[in-house]
Amino acid sequence: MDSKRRRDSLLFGTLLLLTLTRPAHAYVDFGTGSMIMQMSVAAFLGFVYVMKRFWASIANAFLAVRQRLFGRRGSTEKENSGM
Amino acid sequence: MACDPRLASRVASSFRDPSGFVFKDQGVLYRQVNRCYEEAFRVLDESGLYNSLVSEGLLIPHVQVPVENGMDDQAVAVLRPEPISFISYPYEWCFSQLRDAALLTLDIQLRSLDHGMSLKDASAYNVQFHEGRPVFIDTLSFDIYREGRPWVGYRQFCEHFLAPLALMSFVDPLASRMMSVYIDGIPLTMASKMLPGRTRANLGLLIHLHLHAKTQSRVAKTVASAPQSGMSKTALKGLIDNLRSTVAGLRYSPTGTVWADYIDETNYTSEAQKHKEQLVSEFIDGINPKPEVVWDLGANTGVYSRIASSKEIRTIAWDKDPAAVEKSYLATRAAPDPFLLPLIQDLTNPSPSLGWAGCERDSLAGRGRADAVMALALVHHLAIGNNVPFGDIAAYFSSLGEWLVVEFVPKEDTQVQRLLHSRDLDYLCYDQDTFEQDFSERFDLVRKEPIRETSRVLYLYRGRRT
Repeated sequence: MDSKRRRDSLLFGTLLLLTLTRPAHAYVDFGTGSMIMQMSVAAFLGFVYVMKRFWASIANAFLAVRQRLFGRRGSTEKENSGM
Repeated sequence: MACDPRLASRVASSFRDPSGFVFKDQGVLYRQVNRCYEEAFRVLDESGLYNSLVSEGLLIPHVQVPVENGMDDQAVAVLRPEPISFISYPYEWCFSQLRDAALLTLDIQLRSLDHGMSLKDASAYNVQFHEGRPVFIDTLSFDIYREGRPWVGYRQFCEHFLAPLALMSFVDPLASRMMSVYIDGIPLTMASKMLPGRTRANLGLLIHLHLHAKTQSRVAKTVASAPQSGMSKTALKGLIDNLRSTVAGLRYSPTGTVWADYIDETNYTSEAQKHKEQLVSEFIDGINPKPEVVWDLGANTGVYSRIASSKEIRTIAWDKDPAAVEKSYLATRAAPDPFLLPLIQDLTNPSPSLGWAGCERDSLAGRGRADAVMALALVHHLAIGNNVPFGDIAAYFSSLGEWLVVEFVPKEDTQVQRLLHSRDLDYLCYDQDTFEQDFSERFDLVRKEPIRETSRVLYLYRGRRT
């Protein structure tokens, strides 16, 4: 249990050191923890976003070809956000 | 507490952002742009972001008036935004209203990044419901995007939107009322503790809420400054996109509460229902001059509110039940009605003045009066359910509007019998004569009609001029 806690603290400390730079300026309290949180997941969520866009472009290309061949109206995925 | 009259010109809630502020001059609302925001304001226009957002109805439009209209020498521009008919607050919104406001904020942030800008805050108070849809009202929330910089509004977004939405979705739809206690957002550590363990299986909630809360707690014990760079624009868009998917994926089904199913469980025949609708319509038509604003108190899912809004009268459908308001809002969204705004309000404990100096967020009474108030099948809930005497109910209604359409439900009615199930009627002066006598002290009777096939009576009253 102690070694697990020590390992967690070490990982967290390393992450903290990696991300610490100059202070940001904003009128809202952005929260240091919140900034670190964003940096921690940035690479992962960026990768997911790129992959999502990639598959969306493949799907769009497929729909465009289908529309050209069969004259059917295709549509891209649209989230039901109600907006 | 009376609000400081020195704050009369500047809107009391407009003090946080040094970029500018909102003020009122002779009843007209203006927004002053301060010198320190000059560059960002120029980029907002030149980048095409302002036109892009306004053309799609995402941002409130404004006209620029001469800078001499500013309140002090810091002014570099003065804007007159399109007026919002009624300012509502997140603690008065149902689940889907808060979710739509959240999605609007994220969509605007994504659009801003494409134009070289970024939202510098993500307050739920930046969104209002205007002509039936959410619209962003803070024109000064846009900052110039600095490459590599994380989103400074991330924490605020999670506290103002994600935490209350998750609590409303997984714990209780009334969790939005917590926003009236935590007016700057629900602390993530608290939300994380309150949410059930299964929410950790939701990747978005795990990252943005649970791990976020944990990181905040850990950092709070250290003295550290925040990172200012190192996050690519793609990663930032990934973060916003993931927040969007998480928010869009949250669900709430408005069933199971007493009020959401109330209309279906009333003892009206279809003839009685039709006659009541006809009378309500005639009574509204009988108000002279035609009302501009109607408040339907205890509106439930807004069946009768729609009679008023269909006459192009701005109507607010108030109800205490979040499920009923949710149903009403979803119906309004499905068949857009620019004149109807459903909101949550508990009349036995109406929204008070809140925030800094008790003036930052207006009370219900502080946000103006209606021209006409409707209180249909409501009085018995206040009189019996909350023990409010008829005279006090009449006094409160008269403080809200000049005209009143009110329904009296006698004690023989099954709905009243339900309320009396565990009460002793003997000590309650609940009868039609007392009702009419007490209401006549505040109002003049204009019209009175029994509703067919029921023992209920509908009254049209006009407030007595004193």
